[in-house]
Amino acid sequence: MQEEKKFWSRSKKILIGLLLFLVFMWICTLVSKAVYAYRLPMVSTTSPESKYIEHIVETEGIVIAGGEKPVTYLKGLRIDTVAVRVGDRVEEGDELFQLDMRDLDDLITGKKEEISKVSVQINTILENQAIINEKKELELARAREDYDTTSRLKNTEVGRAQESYSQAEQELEDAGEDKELKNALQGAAYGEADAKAQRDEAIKDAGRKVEDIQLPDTVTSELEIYRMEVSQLKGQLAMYQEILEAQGVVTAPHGGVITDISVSAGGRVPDTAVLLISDDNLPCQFKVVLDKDQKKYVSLGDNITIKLDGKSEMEAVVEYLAESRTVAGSYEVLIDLPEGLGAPGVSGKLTCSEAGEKYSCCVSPQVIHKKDDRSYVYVLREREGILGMECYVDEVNVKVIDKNDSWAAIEAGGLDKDSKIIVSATKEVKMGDVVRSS
Amino acid sequence: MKVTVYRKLYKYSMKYLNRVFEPMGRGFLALLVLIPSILVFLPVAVLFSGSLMDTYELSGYLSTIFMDGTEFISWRLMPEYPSFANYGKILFTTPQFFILFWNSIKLVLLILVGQLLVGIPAAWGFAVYQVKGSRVLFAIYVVLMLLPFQVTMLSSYLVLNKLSLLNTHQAIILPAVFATFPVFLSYGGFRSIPHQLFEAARMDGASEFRIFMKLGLPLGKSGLLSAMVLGFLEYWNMLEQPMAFLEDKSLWPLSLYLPEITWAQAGYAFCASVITLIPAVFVFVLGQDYLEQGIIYSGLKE
Repeated sequence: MQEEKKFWSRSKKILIGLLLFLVFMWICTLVSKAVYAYRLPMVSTTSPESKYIEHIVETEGIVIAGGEKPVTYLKGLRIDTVAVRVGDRVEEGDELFQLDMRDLDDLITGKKEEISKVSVQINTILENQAIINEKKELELARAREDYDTTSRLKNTEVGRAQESYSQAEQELEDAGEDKELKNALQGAAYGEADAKAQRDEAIKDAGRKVEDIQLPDTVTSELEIYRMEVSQLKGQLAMYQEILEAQGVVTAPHGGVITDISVSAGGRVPDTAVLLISDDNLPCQFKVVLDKDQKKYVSLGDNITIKLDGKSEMEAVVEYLAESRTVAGSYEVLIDLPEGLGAPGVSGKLTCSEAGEKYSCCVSPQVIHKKDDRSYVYVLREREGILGMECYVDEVNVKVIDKNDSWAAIEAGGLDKDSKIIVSATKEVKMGDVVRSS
Repeated sequence: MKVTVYRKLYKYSMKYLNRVFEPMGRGFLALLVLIPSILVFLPVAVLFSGSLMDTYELSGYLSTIFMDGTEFISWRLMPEYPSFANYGKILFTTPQFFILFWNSIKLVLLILVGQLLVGIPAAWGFAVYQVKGSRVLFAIYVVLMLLPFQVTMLSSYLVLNKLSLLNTHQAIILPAVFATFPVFLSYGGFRSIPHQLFEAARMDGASEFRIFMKLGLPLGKSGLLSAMVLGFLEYWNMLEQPMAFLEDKSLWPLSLYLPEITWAQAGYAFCASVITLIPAVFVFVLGQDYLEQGIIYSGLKE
């Protein structure tokens, strides 16, 4: 009897232990289910739809000047400060930049020195020319004198030869046929002819010397070049003086918007344009940069809609479309704006739409994932698990046929209208993950 | 009568053993018993220590299994860095484990209740009412008991399929409810009650149901309880029946959960094994006194 009681008491304790164990397991069941459910990512899904893929290109652009005028200035001046920035609107006479006055003083001094140097060179040339002229006049006088002397002497010699001939002729007439006298007459005739020839030759040489001296000197441009240089330097100096009088302030020659500045403080004025100012006389243009995908749906001559900041929408036509030279793979579109509309720097939006085909299987582009060259979507599927029917993530490869910002048409190989495509998840999911559907 | 014979046999055996081992001394005897005890206990110790090891420590010990497998694994019965992470994971973040745990509890309890309702009256009938052909029928029962599951699996499958019970818990419960082993064990318990008691009760005007309830059940409880304990241990660990008849994992019992765990989760597997062991230990401790009795009944001959 005692043993029986002891047995039941022991059995009771064991049963209570077993019961407590089962209660503990029941609590753990609840806790583990709660933790499991809490840890499961919640996903929201969508199904493929039949849609028209309309391509709407919406992109931001900016108004640019219709034309630009360059502002040039004296090359080599050092800039102290630049008073304007790209996009600033300036009126005629507004300060553009301030020159370095100390550098300007140095430049003026340098120019003056250059003028002095060139002037000295000019004076030297002029003095040399005067000396040469004097020498030439003296030589001419001497040549003329030589000519006269030679002429007189040679004429005397000719006279004497004629006289000898006349005498020999007289003697022959007087003597008759005398052979010696004939030879003497012959010799006198030759002597007269030689004297005349020598006289002519001497006079010709003397005359040529006079002519040679009278010939003008070689023409040189050196003097003229120096004079031109001086003139140019004086002109620059005058401009420097003007700048000096204006305290080194450079002003806008006309009104407009600064579109480009090619100098900076501390630099020197180049021989090209210092800056570009828009031309207010020409209408502005609206410039948009399109990427490769957007370009497919915009063509030259297309009607588009432009909405500038703070203005109402307006219809326009694409006037210019070409590949960008600055950004590879992108395209620039220019649209002429009506006169008086927009100002350079004002932003706006271009909208262009193109109706597309109807596709039977369209999804949001956000649900399409890409890895390497492969496109795929996550699809929610169901399977039998230990916890019963459970949802899991499956990966389905797709091929995108066409798409716009809102919809992507895909080849409906692995998907049908009842497929549940995962749109979003509370945690990152991958293929095979168990999830909950919201 | 039969019990008396067995007890005499036991008494003589013990006397013989005492005569053999007494001269060797108690110390030697203790040592002789201790060595096999340690060998038996070692897998359980490995199970417990493994459940308290973290992944890194376990992978260090079990790496040879995952690598070339040419060396023996090393093991520390006392973990170097004990961790309850596996217990935390299995108890608080794995509802799958509990689904199967409660499936096991449900299956075992319904089978045992069914066996109590069906098997016990059947055993009472065989033991108390000696009608013509009852011995032959009982012999067929014993033969059926001896048939392993693999032999009857196909026919059971066809029958269950015809009854549209496949992939339901009834496919496991119903064949087990009508199992012959609890009938056989309970039969032994009821047969040990002297017939004279039933005669006396009848003469006193007790109905057959009253005799069953007031005499049969209290006096044959050792057979019943041993049948229940052995039945619990058998059905708690059953593998073949659910594997053959249950397709949905959500219907599986806990015994099928362990093969689902990969070797990479070895610590988790050790931990699940320990928790699986606990109900069986409770039931064993509860019914260990009757287990011996049940085994005796199962060894009795007519």
